[in-house]
Amino acid sequence: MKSVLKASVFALTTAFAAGAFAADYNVDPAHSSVSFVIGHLGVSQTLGQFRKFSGDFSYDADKLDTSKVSLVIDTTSIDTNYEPRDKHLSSPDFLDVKQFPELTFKSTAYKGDANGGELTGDMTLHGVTKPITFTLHKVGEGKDPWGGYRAGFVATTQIKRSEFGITNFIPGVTDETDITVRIEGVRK
Amino acid sequence: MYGESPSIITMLLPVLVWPVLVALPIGILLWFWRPRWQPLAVSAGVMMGIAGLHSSFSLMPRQALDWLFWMSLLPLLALLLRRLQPLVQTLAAIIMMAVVALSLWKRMPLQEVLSWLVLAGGLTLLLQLGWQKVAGQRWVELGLFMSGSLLAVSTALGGSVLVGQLIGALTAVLTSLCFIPILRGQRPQLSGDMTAVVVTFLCVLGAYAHLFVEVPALAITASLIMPLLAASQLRRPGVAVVVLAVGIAIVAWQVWPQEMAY
Repeated sequence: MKSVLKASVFALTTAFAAGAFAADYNVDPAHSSVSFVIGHLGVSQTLGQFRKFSGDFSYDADKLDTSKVSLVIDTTSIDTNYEPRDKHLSSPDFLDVKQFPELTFKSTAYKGDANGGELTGDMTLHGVTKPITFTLHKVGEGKDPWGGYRAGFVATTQIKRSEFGITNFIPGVTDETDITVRIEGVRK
Repeated sequence: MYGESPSIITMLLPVLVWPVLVALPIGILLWFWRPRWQPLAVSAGVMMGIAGLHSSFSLMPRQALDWLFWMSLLPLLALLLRRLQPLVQTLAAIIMMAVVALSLWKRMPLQEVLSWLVLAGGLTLLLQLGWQKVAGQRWVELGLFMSGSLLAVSTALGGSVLVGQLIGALTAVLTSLCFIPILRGQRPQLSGDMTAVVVTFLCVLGAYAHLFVEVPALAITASLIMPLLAASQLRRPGVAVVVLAVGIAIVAWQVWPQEMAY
């Protein structure tokens, strides 16, 4: 009986400890960004970003395979530092934001260690859902001055926009689009 | 890399060549065989334009342009009711707009959706009645050509080359179909039914440009109404030219970009 009780206490303690370390974070938009780079006419690269997005993630250094990320990006908030181009990129020629106001990413798997690895998930862009893989790098984690706990990551990937049904002006505006997500999360 | 970009001819294929190559034979065949169904050529031309320009086209509708493809058959069904043609074509246009923009209506209050459809329907009915009144007059088809051209240019300048090209495809189709009567030595013209169907498409594509590209309503309204007013004044060419010039000026004022996007 004693051994059963001991085993139960041990199991409960372990479960509690694991729960204590498993952490869910809210994305802090003030210290995060979602940006992209796309080639123009083979001579330059245009940098753009989405100003509005939200999301959360779970990150546990001891249980990396349970890590999860979810992002919802408002495509109407596109900003390439040139208003007429933003309007064109928002039109049915590219993102068609009236019809597809959200770009989403939901992770399905993570391979790597606590400092970085490969994050795979489903991205829905322009109404098309495809699996993509980000190369993830942890920037750091720790307590903030206000008693909270933060963790930050940089994730990069390259997509072919044609695979998401955005094919206009290729190759003048390149098919390949580099995406960089810089995220700082505040532990819930 | 830029050297790999398509030639002008390649770019014109889906906008001009394919739609006209599909519409013209159908239009000629039906003109001799079943004149009543000649407007099928307009629908076929528009459908070809959509299929050629829409890069992720799907026969099973997933996006607004997919829905527009199938909805392009609706003006033909409306031809079954000949007596109330302007009214029935207007109803067809309203149904087309409602279905094509379904993804937008879901995010808008019902009252706003209904108000929008009533306004768009009112404008469509006005245009249908107007074009029915002037149909048959010499050179009146020039007005439709100008309407399509103005709408295409204002949409392309207003933000979407793709939708502008689609309206350009409709304009190319209506222009080519105009010339079919010369096969029998008659003057170029569009039948009343064909005109009604073309006007329905112009109104629906104008609505598409306004809803999905945010082309200013005034630019679209001017593109649709001023050429009709000019066509109604063809007996006084000076007045017609002035009216058309005012229409072009309104469109330019509304959509001429201060800085180029492309």
